[in-house]
Amino acid sequence: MIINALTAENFRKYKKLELRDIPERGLITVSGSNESGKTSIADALSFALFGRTYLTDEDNAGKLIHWGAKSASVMLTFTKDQDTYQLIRIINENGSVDAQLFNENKADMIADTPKEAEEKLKEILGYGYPTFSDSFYLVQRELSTPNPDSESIKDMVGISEYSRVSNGFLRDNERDNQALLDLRPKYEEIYHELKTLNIDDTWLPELVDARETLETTQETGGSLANNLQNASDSYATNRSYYLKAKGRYGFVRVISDILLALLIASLMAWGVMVFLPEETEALTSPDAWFDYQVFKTWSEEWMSLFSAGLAILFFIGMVWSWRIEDQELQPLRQTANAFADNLMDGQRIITADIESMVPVRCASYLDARGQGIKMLLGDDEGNQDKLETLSEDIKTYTAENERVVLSAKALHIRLKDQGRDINYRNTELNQEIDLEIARTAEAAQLKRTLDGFDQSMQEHSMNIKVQTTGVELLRRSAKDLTEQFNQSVSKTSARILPYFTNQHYKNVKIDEQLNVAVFSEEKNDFMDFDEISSGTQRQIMLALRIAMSEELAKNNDNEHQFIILDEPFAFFDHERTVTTLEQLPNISEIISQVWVVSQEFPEGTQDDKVIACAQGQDVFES
Amino acid sequence: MASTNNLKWLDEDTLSTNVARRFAVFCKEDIQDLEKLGVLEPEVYEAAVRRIIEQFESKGKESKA
Repeated sequence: MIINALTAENFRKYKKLELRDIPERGLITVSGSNESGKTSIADALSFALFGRTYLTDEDNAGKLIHWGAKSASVMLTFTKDQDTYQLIRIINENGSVDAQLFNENKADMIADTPKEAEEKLKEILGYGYPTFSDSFYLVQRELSTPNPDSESIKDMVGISEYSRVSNGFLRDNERDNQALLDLRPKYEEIYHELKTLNIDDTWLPELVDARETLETTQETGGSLANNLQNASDSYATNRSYYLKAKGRYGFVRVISDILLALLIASLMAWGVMVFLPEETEALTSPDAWFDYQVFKTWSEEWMSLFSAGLAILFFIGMVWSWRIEDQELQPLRQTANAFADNLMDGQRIITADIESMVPVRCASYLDARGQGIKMLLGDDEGNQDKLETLSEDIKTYTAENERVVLSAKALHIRLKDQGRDINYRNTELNQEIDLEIARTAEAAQLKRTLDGFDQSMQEHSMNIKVQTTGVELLRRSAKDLTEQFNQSVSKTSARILPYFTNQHYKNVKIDEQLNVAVFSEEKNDFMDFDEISSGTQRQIMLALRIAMSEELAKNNDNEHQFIILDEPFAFFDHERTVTTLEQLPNISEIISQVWVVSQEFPEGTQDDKVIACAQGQDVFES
Repeated sequence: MASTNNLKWLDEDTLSTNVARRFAVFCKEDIQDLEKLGVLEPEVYEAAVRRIIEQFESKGKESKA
């Protein structure tokens, strides 16, 4: 940051102050006796930048108004990063302050209130008044040993942002820890509730399967009962039909067999006559038992017709018998077989053990709920054999109607009883299923909540880990930067110090706590700061402060920077003053614009701009 | 324990603030030291670096806005 111009009206000593054509590089001397207005110039600069001076804070700005005037104004033009800014502050009659900050390159007003100006300047310059007064505005009488924990030193080291971020992490850690403390009991409470529910993931599917199995059995049993009823009702009719059809079938088959025999016989006779004529001639003897000639004549005339008739009748008989078999007997046998199968199926169902149908746990559950394992109470072992016999008889319609009806009725009743029994068990199962569904839903909700807590706790834990790592990382980085800063300051101080101490001291050593040790040529060893004279201490401190200011400028990307040294030579002898003034504009590439405020300067001082103040002069233009 | 990528994603030249750039340079050396010591948790370290850089840069962006 380089100062280009400073103007003021009614500010402290001056009715009008106007400093223009300030060189970017070189020595600017501000001289004058006591109360000549030197400090008013430095104060105007300080007030323009930060709204305060060393002695007057923001709340007492009214004290800076020139005696007799009602308001004051200060305008500062400065350059930073190729941009030129104009900063105007006006002190009103009531002591309030207005401020405006312009970026001249962009022709843009970037702040319109003191608060905005303060924030923008902090962003542009990288520091506030405390750091400014510890670095680029050095008042010799106020110089003190730097405090490594002060914000200004952190600014100079380049770690002031570290504190902000690190403190933010520590605050975040507190929040995350508190969140964990809040979440843990909630998590444990929900975990306990979930544990208490003691959900077995296999129980509900088993219950549902058992219910489906029993329902299927019930449906099958009901269907069988109805089938048995119908089959039993139609058995007698069917049996009658079957027996009649069977009789017809037997009669037709007998007739057909006879016709077949006749057909074969006629064909054989015809064959003998055709293929064995001589032998048949012998049959024509008078003693023959029948008249062969008559037979031969009949045969030749009717045999073929007779055989054809027999064949047709045989064919008709076969078709008829097939039709009886296919259209009447076969369907009736199928009906009988189905009836017989139903009987056996029904028997199997009513004798089925519940343990063979549902998982053991479900059977045990139903047993525990007062339901016996056996479906029916009757003894069905003996009935099984009877039904098997009956079933076989039914298939052949040999079973007596009454026996069939009684057995089917008995089985029908048992199936209906069993249906009611299953229904009762399913009611029990449904209650348990409903309960288990509700419990499972409750468990799922608790699990989701638990998962949410768990995820949240993991996130907080991870945050704490990251933030703690961040704090430690910043600490190590700050330590590293501090070491670099100390080395750099030591190096710069060693470059400056010989001018300030007339070559008596050329080397300094700065530890982590910014304790300074100076190398004495005479002692050929490092001396502690408090071992050297107070005058030399001041000279060393000034060199150290300038070196630190250079670091601050570097950290804020300032390629060129001004510095104001107020009465820096109070503890310098004439020779050291002359040497220092010669070297000040060249001690640093960065600290290039050096303002020195002093009552007087040695003759022959090579300054680049002279600001010579005089007592009683309230208008100054230069 | 190997680092995920030794902070290869972290390019100090693309950072807008001096504080972030200097910190990035430090982290690239620091991560190697921790790796040699066998005390590096790459994911945690990388997350910490990202958060710090973001905070440095967000401050820088505010100042340039």
